[in-house]
Amino acid sequence: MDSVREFCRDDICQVAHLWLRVFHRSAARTAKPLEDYFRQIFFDNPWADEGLPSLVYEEPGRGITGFLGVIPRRMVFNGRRIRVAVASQLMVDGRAGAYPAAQLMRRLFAGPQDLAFSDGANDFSERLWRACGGDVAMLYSLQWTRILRPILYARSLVRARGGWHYALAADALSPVCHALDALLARTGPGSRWLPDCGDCTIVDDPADQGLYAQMRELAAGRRLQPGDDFESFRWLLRRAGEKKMYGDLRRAMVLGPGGEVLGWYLCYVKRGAAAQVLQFGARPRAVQKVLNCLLYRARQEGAVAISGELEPRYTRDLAASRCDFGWAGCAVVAHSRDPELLNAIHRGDAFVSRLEGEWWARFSDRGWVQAEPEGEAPAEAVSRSEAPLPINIP
Amino acid sequence: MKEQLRKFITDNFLFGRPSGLSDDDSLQDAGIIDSTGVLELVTYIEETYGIQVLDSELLPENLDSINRLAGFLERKVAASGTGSLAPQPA
Repeated sequence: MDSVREFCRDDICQVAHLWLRVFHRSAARTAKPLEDYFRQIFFDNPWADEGLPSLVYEEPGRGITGFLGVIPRRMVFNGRRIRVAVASQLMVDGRAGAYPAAQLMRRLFAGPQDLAFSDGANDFSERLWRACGGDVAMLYSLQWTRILRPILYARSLVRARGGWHYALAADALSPVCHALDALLARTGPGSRWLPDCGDCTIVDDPADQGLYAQMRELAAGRRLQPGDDFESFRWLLRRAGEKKMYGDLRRAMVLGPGGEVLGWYLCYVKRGAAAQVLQFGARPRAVQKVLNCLLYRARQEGAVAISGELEPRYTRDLAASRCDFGWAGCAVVAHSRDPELLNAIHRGDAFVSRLEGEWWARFSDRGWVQAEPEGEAPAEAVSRSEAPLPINIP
Repeated sequence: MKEQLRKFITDNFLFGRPSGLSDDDSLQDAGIIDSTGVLELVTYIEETYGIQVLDSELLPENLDSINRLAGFLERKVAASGTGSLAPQPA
């Protein structure tokens, strides 16, 4: 019997509860906001494509024990529109064993899409993706980080270690950290590396249409590029704006001294935390300038560091701006039957930002667990990540 | 064939360590294979024996012990009509 079938609207309640059990060990009885979000992301998105459904694994007598979300997207490869299946929220009940995840992945890869893609694969799902014949896009899996306030950044790392004693110590040291960072910014060697806008102007909150036009123009030079129409792009921006895990979404256009557009950025900023770049783009000889404006504004708004997914063409500029590179924790993974398409990704000839995968979705936000379980949560439903990562497998 | 399957399992999932695995032991219950292991095992038997495993055949009943694997392979070959379980040339 085939245990994998298409995800339908009637399954949403079961899948939302599975998600809460797997990622939050919660047996909450109500999950209405989460159900609404599943509906919005997997059924009411603007790319709805009957041929690229999300998948569930169902067992007789036990209901749905596995899920693999698919967000259909459109991209353009070598001038041709292609179908993309963005994989998201792979999860399997711990009691279901090793077979559901394997079946779900095989079914996904057998689909009619030109490209299957995810930017949220943890170690386990990355191994699963590879075992199924998929690739890891090494370049796009790298993350760049620029420290903006070194002492406060160190404090944020201590705080992030968890435990009340770390938080207490970090909070107690906060005034001292602020003072030391201020001192470093004025007198230390770090003062030479403070980001500066120079002769550029930052225009906050540009119209969606303007951002869309810039993104289209800049991505046009790549073999693989987003294929969203304006309405889809706007929907995506709205959903990304709802994500609060990393703070508020800032959007800006950067203008040169003559008022010409040099580039743009979309970035989440939260005071005292590392800002997270959702997307940034710049004209070929203006990358450094746009980057400087981005760093400057993030620092001005209280970010202690700033991070983003590597855009391979900007590597030199990022390095020149004293950014460090490291493994992001979640890999960007891809699968295609077209070797040319994969080749474009591996060569960095793709405009793939966090807006093209599933990173923008707010599944990892806090607040989904509304009611605490009565009694113990099921021990078998184990997420192997400390933070709720999008993909989880046994 | 069973020895060949055992060798693959030992080499790939147990790093060559002898495990005392019997032909009927569940690979999953023994903690030898997880989801990734299932896919690696399927790729191995598809490439080695020239068969195609359907999604609907990806079940513990077919793959979860050496005996079940051997039985599954024999049924697949019989159904294909080739009548041979000789490993495919690399």
